[in-house]
Amino acid sequence: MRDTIRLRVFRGDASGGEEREYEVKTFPGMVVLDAIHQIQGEQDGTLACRWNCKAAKCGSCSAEINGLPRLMCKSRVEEFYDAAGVIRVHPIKTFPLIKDLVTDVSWNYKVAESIPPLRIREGTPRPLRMDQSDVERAQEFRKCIECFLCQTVCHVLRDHNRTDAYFGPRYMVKIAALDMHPLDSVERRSFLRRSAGVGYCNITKCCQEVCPEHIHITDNAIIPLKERVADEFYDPIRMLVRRLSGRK
Amino acid sequence: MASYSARDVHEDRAPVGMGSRTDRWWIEPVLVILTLVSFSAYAMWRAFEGNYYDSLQALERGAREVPLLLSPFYSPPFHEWFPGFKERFAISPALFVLVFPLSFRATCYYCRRSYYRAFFWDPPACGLPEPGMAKRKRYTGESAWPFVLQNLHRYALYFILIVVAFHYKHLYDACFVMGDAGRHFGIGLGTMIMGLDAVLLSLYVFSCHSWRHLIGGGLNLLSSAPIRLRLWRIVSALNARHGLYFWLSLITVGLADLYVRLVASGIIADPRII
Amino acid sequence: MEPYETVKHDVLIIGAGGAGLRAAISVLEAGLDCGIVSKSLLGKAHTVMAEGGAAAALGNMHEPDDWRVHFRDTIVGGAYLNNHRMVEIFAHEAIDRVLELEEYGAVFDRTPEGLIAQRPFGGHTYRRLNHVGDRTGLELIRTLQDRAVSMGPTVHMEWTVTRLLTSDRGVVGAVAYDRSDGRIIVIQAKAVVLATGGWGRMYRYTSNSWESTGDGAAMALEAGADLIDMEMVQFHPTGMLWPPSMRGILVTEAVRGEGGILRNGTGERFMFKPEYMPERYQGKFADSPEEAARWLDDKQNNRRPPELLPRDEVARAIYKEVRAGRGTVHGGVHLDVTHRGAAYIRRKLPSMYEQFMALGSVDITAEPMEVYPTVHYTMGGIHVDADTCQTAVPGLFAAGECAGGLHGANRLGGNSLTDILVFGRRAGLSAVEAASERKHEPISESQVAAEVELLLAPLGRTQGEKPSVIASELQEIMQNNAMIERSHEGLTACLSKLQELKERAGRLSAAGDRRYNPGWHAARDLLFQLRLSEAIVRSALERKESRGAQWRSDYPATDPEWGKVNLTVALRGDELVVTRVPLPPMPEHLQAIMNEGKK
Repeated sequence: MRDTIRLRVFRGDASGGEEREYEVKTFPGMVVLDAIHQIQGEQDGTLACRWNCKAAKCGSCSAEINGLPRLMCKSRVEEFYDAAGVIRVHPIKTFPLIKDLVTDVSWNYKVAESIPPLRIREGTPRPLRMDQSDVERAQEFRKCIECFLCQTVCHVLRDHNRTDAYFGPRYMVKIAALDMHPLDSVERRSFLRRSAGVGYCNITKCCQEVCPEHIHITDNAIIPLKERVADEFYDPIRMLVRRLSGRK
Repeated sequence: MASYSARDVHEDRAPVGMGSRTDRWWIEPVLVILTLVSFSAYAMWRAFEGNYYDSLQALERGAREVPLLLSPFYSPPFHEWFPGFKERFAISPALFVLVFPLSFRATCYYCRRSYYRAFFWDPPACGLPEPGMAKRKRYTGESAWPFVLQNLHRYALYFILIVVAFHYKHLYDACFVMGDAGRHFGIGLGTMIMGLDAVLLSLYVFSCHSWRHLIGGGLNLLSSAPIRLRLWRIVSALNARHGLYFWLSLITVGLADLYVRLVASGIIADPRII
Repeated sequence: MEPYETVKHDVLIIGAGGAGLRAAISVLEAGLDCGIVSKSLLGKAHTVMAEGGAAAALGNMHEPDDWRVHFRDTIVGGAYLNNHRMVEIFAHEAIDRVLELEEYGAVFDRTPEGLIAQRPFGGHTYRRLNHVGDRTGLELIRTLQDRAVSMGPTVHMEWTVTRLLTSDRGVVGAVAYDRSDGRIIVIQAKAVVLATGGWGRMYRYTSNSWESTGDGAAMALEAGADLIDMEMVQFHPTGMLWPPSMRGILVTEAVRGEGGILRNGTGERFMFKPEYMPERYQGKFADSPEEAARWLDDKQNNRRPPELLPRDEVARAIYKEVRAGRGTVHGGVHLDVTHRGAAYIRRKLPSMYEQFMALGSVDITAEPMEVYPTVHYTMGGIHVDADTCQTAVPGLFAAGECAGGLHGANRLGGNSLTDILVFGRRAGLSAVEAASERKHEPISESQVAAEVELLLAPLGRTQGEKPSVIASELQEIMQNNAMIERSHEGLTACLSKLQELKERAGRLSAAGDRRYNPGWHAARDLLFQLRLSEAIVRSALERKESRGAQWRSDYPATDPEWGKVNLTVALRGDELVVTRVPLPPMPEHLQAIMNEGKK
């Protein structure tokens, strides 16, 4: 590894900004967040970034490193600097910029609240019994640390700005966790199609590629949800059978 | 509903183009375009050619003995069920046959990912600004016409299941050779290629997302259906490599057709193993 | 004077970790207006770092566990300094609080019967940690967060509260600033719950984030409350050691719960040495590696390995091994779980596997981890009433890590996650009651003005001390003198250095303006840290014995007389005063439970 690297960090706010270069000393195992901390401590205390656990468990330090959405605490510098020792660090692009590497992600919190919560089937005896094989699917989705990297890389939100129509991958995963909960009794298919906008996803899988928790967002959450919605709204034979048999 | 304290920020984001990827993200879409375009071109050429799809043709060209190979492009064998098909409709039966795998592949979740990226640039690569974003019409994804039709993937699956069955029938046929001594057992390189094609096509079809949903994905209490749970786990494991099987089976089906063409046209003779 | 905004809530909850969110649920259930202030984004609090599980005696593992055993384990683990009543409430109510999480939507790992799976942990007699792999804290906070926000609180994200406002009738509100734009806000409330967590950040190597600067405890102290057991800082035995970038990051105790073995640099399994087996645990642990190995599959007929002694004991043993020159290359010990097999490790310890693989390039299924103690938790904190979480200030309540008393001299792993549930709820209920009896009081402009001046001063100074420099010096002296091994000499040296730092901290300066300026934020946090560091050092000096987390090399013995007193710290003027407060005698029914354990 090089002794020093050059970090080009975006500095600025919504009114404009620029890349500023900082030279930092490296040490074994160094991650990009360490480099940011070094800049804050020794060169410029006004550099704004979010972080908490520095162990990839809280999902605070999301940024775009060389153009790719990443957790800074989980990005080893030697994997990112180029031949000239340069790493470029920018804020996530999909949400309004507050300052430097900090963005306003409050939209996500508002979306979260509109999702119908778990309602355990009436008459379920207590203590609750669930089979491990039935909870595993929900458990994968509940690994989400809400870093919003999937939200920022999702082109529906990022490029087409359809926050009005689509909840984004994070909330597909959340809905999947609820909908696949073995004791849940809420019908979410119509909600998924109309409010959450599952149809806006064109399964290009970038969310799954950037997920630091390795959740199979597209394969295990979104596509199964699309299939469940198809059962209800896009399968003419099933719809006919339902109508003939009088089931709702 | 919770409320969140307001803060004074603009709606503006960080400049989108700044700090974008400089790695070789374009390799994948280029490979996808090259592979899909060349396969389609080959398939179209073979369909319109309407010839050399049955290895028995080689006998007419003087071969003494040939394996019983039928090109997968001509399966199910409409040309056998409706003799004179080509003459009557002035069109190759392959075009009818190809509708099944084509619709399955075109609506396949993996394939959709690949062509939305490579051909529609929606997006060309992760995190990359979409070219001409501002000029494009309002994005509706798969929620509106025409892409809402992708939801019919399961019907394409039902048909491809029939095609898979035929591939095994043709594999069975390929274990025989026809010659002066009539039809008898014999395994050659052709059998192997037909086998490879059948196996990879099966892996591709049985790792399908819609199939996974049908097998058990739609159920929340899988533990109460132990057989479906076991099957679902197998399909899930295959599903993780659905993309790989997509490409491999695409290559082997093309290879199988090419091999049949070479044998049927008498360019090569099938090397016998047993 | 600087203009400020005013907001009003019935109940103000400061801190949005598990304790704060659980308190909020109680307040919202009562239909009151509830404001939650969070220093970070919602859901990022330290609770997410808890890995191993939440201890509650559900008894799902075919073992004769019940709340009494949990009570006894907690008292013994806490070296008898715990508040008995708090432990009684805790062990009793932990069960319902965990089951309640399932109703809210938490999805724990299951036993073959479909019940919540429980794993063994240090100091717990039976398998008692209700868990989800090794990310139980995440499950907890997300569950509580979803539940709380669905009930309609007002959430103030990325606000920092820097002072509690008081009148002669107790707490009346607080001063906060918005981290994103530096706006000053005065929050009026009828009751305030502090749930601000711990203060490990004053040490160099810690598993704590920047948030753990002890704001709540320091503010309570300044508002007139007293603190208790401040000398008791938990050093988690296993923090990451290598690479340096990862130094201090937590390696969950679940690794040892799942059979992890500690070996020193020479390959010796040192926890079997008799010198590391404290008297109160003798006969309760496996006496050979063979028995420990059998325990993995047969927990009924074998005793647990000594790696599962409470954290204070294991941390000390590691420290002694390394000090005696038997450390690894980087000066730690090895923690080896490879014998459990790759598939098992990936299923039960997925985030540890990922953490070591991605951050340390170590495959824990194939090679041992290198570990060393790291500052992890603060047992001490705000002195509260056991039943109501009431502090000495009317209207002010505290719960979770910022409150003291439950854990005594050492916390058992898994007890913090249920601590925040049990006492978060109780603090919320008490706040509801207080809010119904109290009204919004006028706030004191002079208190607000004093805080605003203190807060903004560093931005006005061009020449002055950099907060990051003082913070770093503070970490250095606390790491060197107030860590695992303490002595009169080191502590007094530390104290005089602290006085110097305090003096220099009067001249802090920060560049830039008030918009999201971490350098400026750190300046105010530093004052809290200096205050609490002094409380730790003064208490550690006062307690002239070794007990739990406190190990005095000049007083190595545990003194039964010291076992009868807690130390409290109060602020008189600008001086911290340490007082010995006798523990109340244990009531008979609890004494009976303790005696049962001796049989």
